[in-house]
This record gives sequence, structure tokens and C-alpha cells, in this order.
Amino acid sequence: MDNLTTNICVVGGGIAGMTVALEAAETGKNVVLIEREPYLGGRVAAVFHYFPKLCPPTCGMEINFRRIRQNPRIQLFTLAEVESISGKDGNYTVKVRQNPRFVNEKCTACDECSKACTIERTDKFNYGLGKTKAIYLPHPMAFPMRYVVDPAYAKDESMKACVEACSYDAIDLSMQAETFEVQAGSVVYATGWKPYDASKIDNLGYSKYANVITNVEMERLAAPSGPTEGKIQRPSDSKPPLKVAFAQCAGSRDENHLPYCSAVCCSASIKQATYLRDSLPDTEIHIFYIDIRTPGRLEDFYVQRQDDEKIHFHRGKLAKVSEKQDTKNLIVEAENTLTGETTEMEVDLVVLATGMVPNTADEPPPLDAGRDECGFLVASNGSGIIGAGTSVRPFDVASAVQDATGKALEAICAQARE
Amino acid sequence: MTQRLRVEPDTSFIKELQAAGGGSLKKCYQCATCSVVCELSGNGTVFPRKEMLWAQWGLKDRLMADPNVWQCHQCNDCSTYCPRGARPGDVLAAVRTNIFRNFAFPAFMGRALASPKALPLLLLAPVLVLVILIGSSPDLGFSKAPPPPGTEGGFFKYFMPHGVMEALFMSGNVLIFAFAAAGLLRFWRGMKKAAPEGRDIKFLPSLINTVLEIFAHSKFRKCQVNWTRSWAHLLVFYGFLGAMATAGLAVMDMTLLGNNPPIPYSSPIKILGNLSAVALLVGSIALILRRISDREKVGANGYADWLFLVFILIVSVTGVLTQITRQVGPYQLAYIVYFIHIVAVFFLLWYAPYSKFAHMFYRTLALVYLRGAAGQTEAVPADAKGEQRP
Repeated sequence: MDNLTTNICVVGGGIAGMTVALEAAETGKNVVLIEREPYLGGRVAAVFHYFPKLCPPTCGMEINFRRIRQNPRIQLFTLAEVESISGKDGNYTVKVRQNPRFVNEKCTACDECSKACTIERTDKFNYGLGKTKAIYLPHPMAFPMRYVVDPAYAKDESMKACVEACSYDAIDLSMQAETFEVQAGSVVYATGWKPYDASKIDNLGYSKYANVITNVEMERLAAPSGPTEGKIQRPSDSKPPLKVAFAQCAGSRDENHLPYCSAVCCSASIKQATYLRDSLPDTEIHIFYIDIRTPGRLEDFYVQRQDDEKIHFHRGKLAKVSEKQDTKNLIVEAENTLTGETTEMEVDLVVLATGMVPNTADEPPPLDAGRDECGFLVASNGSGIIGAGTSVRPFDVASAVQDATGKALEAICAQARE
Repeated sequence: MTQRLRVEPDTSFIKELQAAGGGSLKKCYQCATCSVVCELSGNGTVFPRKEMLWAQWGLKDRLMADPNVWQCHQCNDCSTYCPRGARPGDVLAAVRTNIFRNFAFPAFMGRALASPKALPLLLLAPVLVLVILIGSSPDLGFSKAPPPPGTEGGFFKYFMPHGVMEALFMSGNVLIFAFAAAGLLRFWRGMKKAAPEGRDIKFLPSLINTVLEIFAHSKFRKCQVNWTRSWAHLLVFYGFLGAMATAGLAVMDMTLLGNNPPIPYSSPIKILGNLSAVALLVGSIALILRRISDREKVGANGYADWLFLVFILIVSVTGVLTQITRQVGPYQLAYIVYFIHIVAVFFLLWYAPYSKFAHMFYRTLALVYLRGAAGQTEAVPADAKGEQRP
């Protein structure tokens, strides 16, 4: 793999990273886009609908994929990670390692290899809620539309059956990792977020009780490409829930967990309430909150659901969850702060609205970039690396795109500096 | 139907609370995690979230009349789980300290016990009384050697005779209970007035059940984070009761049965006394060590807390030392230790209605009230919009 020279190097191919790359490339700049996963789209690709218009990523994200595919100025590397960065504005050297996909460009996504495969692995895209074969397509609208082999199993004997099943010679188990250097005028870090580890919130029962799930898991249950093909059901017995409790601020706005607010969880829970209303019309939904944070036009999104007879809002944080052994139902407790009485309710499913942790919290850019005490990138006086999207702070999709557009301009200016 | 409420914050009260350990009360954002996590909250007595709101708004009257403040046993589960670090446990402790001062009769005694500057004067009172007593009779004196063991009146016959001590103790108790009763009556009336409807309390059965519950420490033992305090307090509680009982029994042994001190080690009275001493010592040391070592779990430490604990420790240590020095070493040493012991005992007892010791009255009364009443909730605005009762 030869070394490259480009104008802007974007690290992270989620919605923000893609937007930075596209906006810059469409003004005439050359961009190298580096993404760690085998597909673009990051966490937004795993969302069923965005709020408030409830659109699916098959619409908005697909448009971006097409723009990338058609733009010759963008060089895309998936399964690629940054090893080191040196330099300053106008002249950075980014050392990249591209891990092997074990599948080449001849892949037509026919699925024959997967059918022949006998090894199963944890489905990371579905937050561990299911399994895929060791050779798999990351998700139905994956871009690049190419299968990938889990590196843990690439050397396994049984994988030879997959190679034989492929009639396009697309599988190459001898692929190696390659390193190369990118000379770039500016570097943008859009490495996104991961969900807060809910098992740390010991009073809410996650990982103790089967029917306590997180908001990102709920999103996959509702999605047709998810582990249950879009059927929202309880993990313990696969039955549809009749009564669902949403616990807002689970591990957020909390000095014992994440001290900040993740901005999107209130809207996300209201959105997930609409999923339940659409697919399970008799199910009751109870949202327990400290404050409902729906700024701007999202206020209307909230107000409409307040009028829904099956959606109940309770002011008072859900602070205790216990389990009924026989049914695996949950007993949730909160104080109704408007009446001063305790609410104790038996529900079938609890959804914890957990917050976002930036990936830069434990994987900072390998060049001193300014970060705040929570790990988010801040404008640095040091390196000049530009943060975009949720590396900077929690965003909903529309705001992340707006932020990324602004950062694209910043990157264009930065790379022009001497 | 809406209720109109004119809130008149008592800002000096807010400052008093903040100074007494409730410094973080403004951080609370009313999430109610504390009310849910508290093992003692629920079933009509839901706290401490609303108390935090009242504290922020300076609603002194409500807090002075709120029995839920005493339902709290300062276990600190709430402060540990509070997402804002508002430390509701510490705020309630500050409210309780304020209650002692508020209902103190006479009022200057409440202020005195809360002020470190008044400590020398407060100590002076029992010291003076004892010095005057010793000086008042030619038979008594620091230089007078004790009589041989087995003599009527015992070791301290010529220094601080037991009969005189008992008389002082009894008369002091009468006064103390009278003064305490004045404050407690106002407290009780305040609680009744704060309830939306008048409550018919069946006092005696309620009292009996409360006392039984206290003896078992059943509420205290529900604490999760600070459970060490529950057993340490149990030891101090029973140690103190045992010591009082021992003193009473010893007097009866002397006066009614005509036995001359010292009481033999095999006697049940002596055994009770020594067991109580050990319990008091172990319990108070455990409580003090907890306060020093783990602020996060134990809660804020104010002057009033330390004053009470230190004097309990002094009483237990000097009590044990008195028993030792009475038998070993020069008699003057025993006299000194005994003197300090009695001063400390009187300090605790005479100032009981005004110091943290008063918690034994207030908490008991509040728990009696809660047990007897149907429940303690604020009147509810009927049109809380969009919310549904479960």
C-alpha cells in the first residue's frame, strides 16, 4: 500500500465523519476517510428511526453513501486505524494500519459463504443481542457492500468451506494488515461514542435482571434488521411487553457516573415510545424523568406524546429496580415529586436511557489534543486536530451533521495554513 | 382546584443549615433518588426530597414540624446515591441540630450548646456545683483519705458521697425533664398542626410499640451504606441504659439492702456495670473512628456531633478508670478521675434537652407521632397535569 498525500484526513466514518469528508470533497478538496469498522455509518446505521421526523437511515444515510461512491476525491479505508499522528496545521503525517477484511472487491454479497460457514460469533452490531456467522455482512445496507471475516476465526480450518462456497473468488484468507502513511494538511477526529456501561448503575439491575435493557438495545429490537426482525420482545421469554418503563438519566447527570447530560436520551425514549405505540398498540408506556429535555422543535415532538393516552410521564427518577423471580417482571420505584407519594409499579420491560461516552475518553488521538475532564475533544491550542460530531459533545443526528459541516470548513482553512 | 402558597423564605435559616453541615443543599435538583433509595422512606412517609426543597426555600416552620426528619437515621444511603452530591443526609442532620436549638427552653441554653465559645462556661457549672458541695462540709475534702473497704458509704464517702450525688442527680433530672417537656410540647403541637387534618393519636400503644422498635433498632439496621453505625449505636444505647440501671441498682443495694460498697465482682450489679462500660467504650470508639475515617459514608461532622460523642467517651473512659484507680495507686488520683467522671455525667444529663443528646426525646416522639398518625403527606393539588397515579 503506497503512502498518500491529501488535503484532509478524517478519522471516523460515522455520520459526522462522512459529512466532513463529503462537504470538503464537494468543494474540491481531497479527503482520506478512515473508519475502524468494516462499514460506514457508525451508530446511526444502527438506529431504527431518527427523531423528530422518524426517518430511517436507509433514506438519509443512503444519500451520503451515494455521494461518497460518486466522488473521486474521497479515498475510503475501512477496517483502518490510526497508529500515530505527527506534525501541525498544513502538514500532518498520519500513520494508518488497515486490518485485513479477508474478502476482496469481487464480493457480490450473495451470502453463499455465510450459509456454508459453521462458526458463530457475537453480533457486535446488534449490541450482543444475537449471533452472526464468522463470515458476515455487517448489516443489510452496509457500505461498502462486502462481507467480512471475523479475524479471530480467519485461521480456522472450517473456513475453507466458505472459500469453496464462493463462486467469485472473493475470499482471501491470506490477506495481511498493511500500514501506510497519509500526508494531510489537516486532521479531523470524528470517532463518535459508545453507550455508557449500564452494569455500573447498581440500583437499576442491568446485567442482573434479564428484562432490563438499554436504549441502544431497544433500538435494535425495534429495527427490522435487528436480532428479532423488528419485534420488540422481552429477553427472558420473547413475549411482547405489556407495560414498559423508561428510566431517564440512567447514569447521566450523576456525579457517580456521567456528570453531564447526553442531550438525546429524552427524545430517544419518546421516539422509542412511538415504536411501541406502532407495533404494540395495547402496551402501556411509563417514562420516569427528572426533566424532559426537548429543546427547539423537539418540544412539539414531546407535547404530542403527552396527549397520547398510553404514554404516561412521571416526574421522579426511577431509582430502584427489583425482579419478581417467577415471571421475571420488574418492580420499579420512583417518587412522584408532584404528589409526594411513592410509585411502585410492576412492569414487563425496563429500558435504561443511558448516555454517550465519547470514544476519545479512553482512546484519545495519538497527538496531544485538548480534552475536557469527560474525554470530549475541546478546541486545542496544541495539536490543531479538529473534533467533530459526538467526539466534541452529545448530539442528535441533525445537529451532528450541522457541526460536521462547520468543521469541514475549519478543516479546509486549517489545511491551507503554512 | 389550585392552592396558592405564599413562600416566605427564611434566608437566615438557610444560612444556618448550610453552616451546620448542609452546605450542599442548593445542589439538589429534586430527582427523588434519595426518597427511593432510603430504606426508611415509603408508605405515606416519603422523604428526604421534599425536605430538601423546603430547606432550599427556607421554609423553617415546615421543617421544625416534620416528623420525617426524625425518621431519618443518618445512614447516608441517600447521600451516596445522590447524583448531585447534595448530601440530603447531612442536610437533615443540620435540620435536627437546628431543631434542638429552636425548641430549647430557655432559648439561651440552646444557643450555648451550639457555640464552642460557651463550652468553658458550660463546664464551669457542674465543676462549681461540685466544688461548692465539697467545700460546704468539714467532713469532705480532696485531702481526706477514704475509709477502708466495706465501710458504709464507700470509697468516696469523704470526697463526693453517693447520697449527695444521687440527690443532685435526681433533682437535676426533674429540672431537666421539666425544661425538656416545655420544648417537646411545642414540638408535638407543631407536628399536629402541620398535618392536614387533626390526627387522633392513640398515644400509649404508639409509645409502647415505638419503644420496642427502638430497643430492637429495627429501623436503624435497615441502613445499607453505614450499617456499622447501627451496631455501634446499639452498643452505646444499651451501654448507657445499663450504666444508668447499674447506678440505680447500686444505690438501692446500698440504701434498701444495706450493703456496703464496694460491690463484689461476682454480683450481677457489678457485672451489668462492667458489661455496660465495655459496650459504651467499644460503641463510642467505633462511632468516633467512623467519623474520622470515612466522611463520605458517615456524613458531615459538626460541633454538636463531636461534643456529644466526646463526652460519652469521657464518661466511659473515666468510669472504667475510676474502678481501676479506686483499687490501685494513690487515692487522690481516684478522686480526680471520679471528679471528672461526675462532671462529664452531669454535663451530659443537665444539658440533655439542648445538646445532641436530645435526639432521644425528639426522635422517640416523632416516631410515636408517625406510628400513631395515618400518614404524613402534604396536601396534594388535585390538577397535577399529565401525571397519573399508578
